[in-house]
Amino acid sequence: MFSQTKTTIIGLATLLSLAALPADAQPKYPHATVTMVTHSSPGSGSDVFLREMIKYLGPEMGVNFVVENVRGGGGAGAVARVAKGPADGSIFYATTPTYIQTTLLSKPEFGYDALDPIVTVFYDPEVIYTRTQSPYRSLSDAVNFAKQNPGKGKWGAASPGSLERIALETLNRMTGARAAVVPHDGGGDMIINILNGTLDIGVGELQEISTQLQTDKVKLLGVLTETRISQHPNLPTAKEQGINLVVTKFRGLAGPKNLPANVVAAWETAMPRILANPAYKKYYEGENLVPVFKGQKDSRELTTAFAADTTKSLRELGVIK
Amino acid sequence: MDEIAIAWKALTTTWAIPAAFGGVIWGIFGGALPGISPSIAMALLLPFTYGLDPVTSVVLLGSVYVGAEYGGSIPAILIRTPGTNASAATTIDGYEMNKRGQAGLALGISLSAGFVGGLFGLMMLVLMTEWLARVALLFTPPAYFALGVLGCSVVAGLSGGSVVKGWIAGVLGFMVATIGTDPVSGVPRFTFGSPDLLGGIRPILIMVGLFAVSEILIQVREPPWDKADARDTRLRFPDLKLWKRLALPQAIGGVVGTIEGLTPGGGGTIAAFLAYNESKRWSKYPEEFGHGSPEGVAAPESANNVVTATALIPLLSLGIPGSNSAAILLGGLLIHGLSPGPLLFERNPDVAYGLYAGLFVANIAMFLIGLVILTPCIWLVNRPKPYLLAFIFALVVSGVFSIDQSLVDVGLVLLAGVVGYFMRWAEIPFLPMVLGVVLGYMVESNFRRSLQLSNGELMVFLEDPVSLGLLLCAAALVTYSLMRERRNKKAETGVTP
Amino acid sequence: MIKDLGCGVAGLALAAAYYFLADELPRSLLADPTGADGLPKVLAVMLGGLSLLVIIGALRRRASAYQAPEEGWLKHLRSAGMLGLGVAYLVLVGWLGYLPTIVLFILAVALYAGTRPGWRPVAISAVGGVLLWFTFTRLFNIPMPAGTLF
Repeated sequence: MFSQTKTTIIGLATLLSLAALPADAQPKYPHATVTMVTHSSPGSGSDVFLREMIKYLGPEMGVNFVVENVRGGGGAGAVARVAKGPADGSIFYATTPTYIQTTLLSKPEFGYDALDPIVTVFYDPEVIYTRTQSPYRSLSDAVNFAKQNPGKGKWGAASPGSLERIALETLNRMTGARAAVVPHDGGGDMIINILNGTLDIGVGELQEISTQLQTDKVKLLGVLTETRISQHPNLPTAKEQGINLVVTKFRGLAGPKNLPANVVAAWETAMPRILANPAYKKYYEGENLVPVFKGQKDSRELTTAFAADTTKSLRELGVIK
Repeated sequence: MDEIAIAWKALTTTWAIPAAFGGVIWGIFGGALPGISPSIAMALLLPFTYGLDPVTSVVLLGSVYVGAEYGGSIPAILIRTPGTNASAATTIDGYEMNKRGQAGLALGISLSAGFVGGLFGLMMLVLMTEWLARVALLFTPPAYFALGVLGCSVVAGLSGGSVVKGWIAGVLGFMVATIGTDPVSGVPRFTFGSPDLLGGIRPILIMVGLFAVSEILIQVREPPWDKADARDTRLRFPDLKLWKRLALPQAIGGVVGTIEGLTPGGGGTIAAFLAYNESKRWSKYPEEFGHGSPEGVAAPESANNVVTATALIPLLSLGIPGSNSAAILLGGLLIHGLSPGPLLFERNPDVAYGLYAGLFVANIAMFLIGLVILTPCIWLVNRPKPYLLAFIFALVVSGVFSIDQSLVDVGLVLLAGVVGYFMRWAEIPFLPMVLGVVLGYMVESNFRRSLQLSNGELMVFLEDPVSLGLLLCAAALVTYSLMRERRNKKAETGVTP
Repeated sequence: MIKDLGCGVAGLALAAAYYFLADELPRSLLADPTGADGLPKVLAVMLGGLSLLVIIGALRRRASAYQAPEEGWLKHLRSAGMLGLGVAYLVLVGWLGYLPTIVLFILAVALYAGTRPGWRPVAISAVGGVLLWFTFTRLFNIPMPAGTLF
């Protein structure tokens, strides 16, 4: 009886403090409804991610969020939609490196630089993996094989102009392996080619292969991040294996240029809070996302640096002039 | 038997049965609208599934898929507008039957063929998943290439009159398929700097343009309907004699649909076309194809409904979504914290077997709902011609926009309509072009991937057993149809000049 | 036959243009030996060859003095008008927005296809347009084009 009362009191207290929070710490967000635009189709990875995020963001910011899927044009349509939108904090674009890639590759009317980054929220760790039966135990094994047998390595990436493709080509260049880097149509077909042994190694987001990992169909050889990731503490990074390859696949938000300062401040306050929310934490850790909160200043820097890096690699590889 | 008990419990203790019916209605409606693809229809319901229990939500999504793949055939038959990619093959003979006043029979065939196909696919899914998953793993890039070649091997047979013109159409289709991002190097090809073309031109745009828009452009200059046969304004099912004739195309649809469902990227469209072609090849009445053959409706509709079940095999056995629709279903599972693949059967057998049972209910629902709605649908298209044309055209420009919310797509459909108009004028057949559009990317990308993997050795296509088998099949089938054509020509000499 | 001749010449022109465009494709270091231009060039050559075959066939038949009856150009004009309505929709919809444009479009097509003018077609297109609008924007939740005019 006693303990129950106590719990109720604590519960009440928590409730009260929660209710008081937005009023105290944060001024009311200037819009009741905010549109989140994504270039990915409903039900795809980024779309589900966004819908999951607004479940927590809504109560936190006191805003009703609406997800809008503007497909087409490799993300250019979605970027244009936001760039032309009102600069008052009522519309945002969910960023991934895709929008920078598309800008560089096809130079649409509204490119990544028509938007202003607001926050960066997660990194998607990229991993190198192979099927369980494969003799390779680490990334360096696979790379050494390719080095010793120039032209024999078979590496897979999800799509032709993707970040992952460029990473593998860079690896080729670094090691002189001259492996065949085979691009695919999005991922499903690549996993089949990994499982049936057509490919030696593949590269992709950790969450894309979570099922195959759980059922021991594939094994991880290395992770392409700066430091090890918490979900797989025993998995060495490529750097540790003597291969200086880091792929930064970020997820964040960008809006039209010249957003009012209070809007930016509201986002910079709200994001770290939902990242700390235990229920949300459970979700994103399950999805193998690494939280990396960056405010507007850092996000701008990240975007600029990323674009410069990608431009450099694309030029070196002769994809753009 | 435990599985059946689990499935029964899953069905009866959740909202799965109403979800199956609701999902099928929604799916048929979405599938019938050109531009709302099965995956879009599913995706639109995805947010609603967040609040439902896992069994109900996967059954809902699966049922939408079943309904949508079927729904596409209704406008294909009635207004020459394929509602989905996979129903394009149905357009050919379905609409011809309609023009001959057999709309009710055509719809009856597509409904019963779809129903039987759906149940056959479900049987494959339930009984053979494990074995078929191993087949799916046999498909390497050379095998995919060979599969595409097998598909292309029928161009000559589809050409109707002039074989040269048939080839021209096929080449044009391949040319359309090369538009977009290059599958290997990633450079944009023939996009003229437009980001809207980067992803390539969707086959549905070409199909709707060629079939529907060109028909609208031609109909407007003809005098009002030669009124369709008034006797056939009701849904009719094939009689026993016709059933016997349809058994073979139905079976071909079953086999082709099973294989295509397994292979990621294959899907209902290629299955429908392959089934159509093979049925023509093995039919006793190949000359009727293209002029309203009931077999030409049964085969593709059987195949694309088989795929609604077999496309789930890679998802449930390997955790790999083989199609856009399967990817949405994957999304639906992930939202509920479930992981697809074999673990689903261990950890959440209620969901796995509930999905099977739900799909069974969905197929029955599809049949029942078809019985109710098809007669009104026939009534709907027997309106005065000016209004009918106006609403078809309005449906086309609206539906096509909804695919990618792109007005460029609407422009492309009009352009494809003009191309179709010109092709009809010049007597160039459509089908080889559609086939080229559907298969072009698959053939090219896998040819190049294979050569990348083999360091440029062409032998790779003969070394891979699956590829070798499929290529031999293609060669045998081409030889067979050539011989048969020659024989027919000999028989015909003297009869027609 | 004029038809085949026209079709052959158009095919040749298309093949040449397509070959030219394929040749202009940027060469990427990411390309494989086949290259981005590999298949397109093969296709262009095939189309060129097939078009020549059609032309030769047409000329031969012409030599045998067979002349196909040509249909009137008026017919094509009537189809072109219908296409024009489609293009008009495309232009107007970005300006007026979906609902008004689709109502006007249905009305215009129905009238063009031969409905007698009056209140009936106006009412039918209004009801039909609203129905389409409701289906796409409300039921399927698709953001149809919004006008810039209002």
